[in-house]
Amino acid sequence: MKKLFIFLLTIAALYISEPIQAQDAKDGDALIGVWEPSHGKARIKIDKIADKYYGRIVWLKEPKDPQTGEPKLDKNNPDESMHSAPLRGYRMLKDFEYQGDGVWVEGTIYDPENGNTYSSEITLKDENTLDIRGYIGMKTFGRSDVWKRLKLK
Amino acid sequence: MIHLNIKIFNYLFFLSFLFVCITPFNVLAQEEGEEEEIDWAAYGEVEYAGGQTKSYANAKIVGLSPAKFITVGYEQQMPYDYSYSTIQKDGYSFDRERQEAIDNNLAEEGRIGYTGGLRINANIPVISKNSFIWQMGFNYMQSAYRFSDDNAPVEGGLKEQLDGRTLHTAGLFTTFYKPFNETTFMLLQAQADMSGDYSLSNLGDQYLRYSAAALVGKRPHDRLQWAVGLSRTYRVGAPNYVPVALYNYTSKNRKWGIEALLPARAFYRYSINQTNLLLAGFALEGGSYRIAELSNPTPGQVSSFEIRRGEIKARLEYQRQLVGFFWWSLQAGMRIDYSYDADYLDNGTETLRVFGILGDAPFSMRNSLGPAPYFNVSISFVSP
Repeated sequence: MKKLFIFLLTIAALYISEPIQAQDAKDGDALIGVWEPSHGKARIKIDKIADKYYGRIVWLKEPKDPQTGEPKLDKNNPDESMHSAPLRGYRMLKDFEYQGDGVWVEGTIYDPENGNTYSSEITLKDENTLDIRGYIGMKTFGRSDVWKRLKLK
Repeated sequence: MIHLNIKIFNYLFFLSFLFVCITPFNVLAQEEGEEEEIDWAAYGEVEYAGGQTKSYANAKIVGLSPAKFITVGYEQQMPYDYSYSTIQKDGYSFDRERQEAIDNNLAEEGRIGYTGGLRINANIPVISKNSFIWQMGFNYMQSAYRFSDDNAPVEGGLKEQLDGRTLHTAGLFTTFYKPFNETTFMLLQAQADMSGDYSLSNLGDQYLRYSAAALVGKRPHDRLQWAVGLSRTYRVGAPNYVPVALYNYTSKNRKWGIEALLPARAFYRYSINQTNLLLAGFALEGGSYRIAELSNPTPGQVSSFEIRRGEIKARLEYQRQLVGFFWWSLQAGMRIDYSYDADYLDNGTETLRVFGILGDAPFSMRNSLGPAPYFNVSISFVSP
């Protein structure tokens, strides 16, 4: 009887906490959408996979490499096997987890310009504006950029 | 009753087990969905959900050598010849005709076997956004001297003050980068240095010297950045007001480029690959070093005897990634003396010559150093 009571209590606790978790997940999903960095050279679509958020390049202002005339490739990637991978479609934001209060943490951001991957944190400034910070080790050693939400026509 | 409870328990346990088993398949289904075909063309036709982002000129261009947050290094000059004149410490009221006598009155000469020491530099971002960057920095540089000649030092001469001792430079600096739009930006830098033979016990504002620079420039595209402005600098030893020009360029294939902030430095850059690069060019380094024991001939006066040290370093530099964001660098080249003269600042009053344009105040001492090969090895924590 005691075991049954503990079990039911656990289930009840799970049911009570579920709406809170659901609300968190809903708030976290505010990140989902298409965004444009301040330089305007790319558009990034952020999606949720399992409980984490990922962003891939879906549009490039200059989709072709001026040297070759072919679609731009990830030729600055330190992993040489990626040099033939097209930049469009590349997953440049990875593994962001929603911390709450409009902040996503524990992610990484890849800079195709120099092939470096930085630790990253995203803050939702308003529903259509992101503050995205890439940093090395400590947040002090980093730089922030403002991204704006886009709507498909 | 007990039997019924066990049944309910088993039933609930089964439901929980089923839930746990199903969950991973849900997650997997989401991942598979993510890999579905994307209609790329749809992302070409968009509108801003809120306001549009204002674009700002990036502080860097592509292909530059890595920006250094923290650097720890060691530098050493190989043996070289020196010649020091006699010292005139009557201040600037003395007869100008005596300058010639000082120029021609050799007091000490010989060879310096060792000049070198530790170098530390830190450049930490305080605010770093696309619309504004503010950095604070710290630098420390040692120049320890060991004379290798057997000549006895002249009493009250400069060799007596330098042999076996260390000149220090420690400073704080701050940099502001403000882009106005996509191509135009402003760069401001201010620096306060303490240079001389001080120790912690006699450190004071009599060693403090200020320099600053202001530039306005353009960044027409990702591979070019230039700016022009004015600076107050001690790089040639004595204080000067000189025009400055920034020019950073990377070739289309990103294999080579120019990194220049004239007249302080200019380098040709060749990128071997993403983690190896070569720089060839020159840097102008210097400062005004106060020598304590030669600075106060009159009790109660805070006068200052200062070595106006300015040197050109023509060098080849190899930079390579060590691991992650740590890089190491090896410089080798020639140190060429531009100035090692000295001024006696009567009661601390600074004198301005600006290459003879603003004044022709006589020097307190006229010295020369022979050229010396040198090397510098350092490790840096960088932002590539």
